[in-house]
Amino acid sequence: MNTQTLERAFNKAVSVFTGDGSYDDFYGFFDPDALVVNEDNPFIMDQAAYQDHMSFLADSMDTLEWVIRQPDFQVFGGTGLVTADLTVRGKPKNDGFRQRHCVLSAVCYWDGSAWRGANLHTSTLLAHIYQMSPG
Amino acid sequence: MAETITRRSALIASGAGAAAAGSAPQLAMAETSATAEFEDAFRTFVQTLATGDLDAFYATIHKDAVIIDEDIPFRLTKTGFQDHIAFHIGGIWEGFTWQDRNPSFRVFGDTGLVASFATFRGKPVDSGYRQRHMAFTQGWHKFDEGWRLVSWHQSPFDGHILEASPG
Repeated sequence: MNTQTLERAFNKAVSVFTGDGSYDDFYGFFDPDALVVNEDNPFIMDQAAYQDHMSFLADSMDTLEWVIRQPDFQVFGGTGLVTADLTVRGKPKNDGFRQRHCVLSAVCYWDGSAWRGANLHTSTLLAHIYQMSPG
Repeated sequence: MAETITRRSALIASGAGAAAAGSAPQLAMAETSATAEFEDAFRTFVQTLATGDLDAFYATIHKDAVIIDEDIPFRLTKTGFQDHIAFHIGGIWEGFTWQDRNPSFRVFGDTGLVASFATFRGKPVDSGYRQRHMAFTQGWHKFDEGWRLVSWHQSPFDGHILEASPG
């Protein structure tokens, strides 16, 4: 239960988007009661809704990749926190390549033997203020 | 879970998405004494912000917390967040409020999670009233001294996809 084990667990979970992992690893990482805020939807999803959404993406994209930048792994007792900059990129079927730049956070917990995901939240930088206020 | 929201059903039902917060069913979980205590900690935290009790507000935020605020395009430390809040309360607002809406609470051992909608609204000095609608999540940890916030991530709906995809 430390930042190294958290990093390994999270990296394995998302390896379906960053390497050669599987959706089973990804979904298996999250607790059945996890809640997800995804930039592709304007509401909060439970795990079943999130899987439905990811199935939709898997069916409609030729390729889909996450590029995780500057990840930070923190542990507060049995609570783990992952934050990172993220680019989601890929090619929809019959359409052109595209990308979306985001910030990611994932709250995790230690279940006694492994890290589990309690949530995943991605927000696009498109909606964040990125210019200095006047005055 | 009382009801599963599927992507397409919810997007179609919510139209342009403007009413998403009101139309989505609550992601209910059986309340226990642990979730009730956690919800109390969250309510107290929200109240410290509403009343301007910044000492109590900041005391609830862990020193190593990470804040992803929609007003900034990068992650903030607690110190960075305090600097940002100081900017807001430095005379540029006549008043502002932050309102959570339909929060869902989860407790996994000593880890707490809040996922909710929120509206930030207020009136800047010499300018008109405005508001910003968001989703937010918060991660909390229960230390010996009580629940403390370790992460807070806010994302405005401006950056979320609001319509169902074609096909």
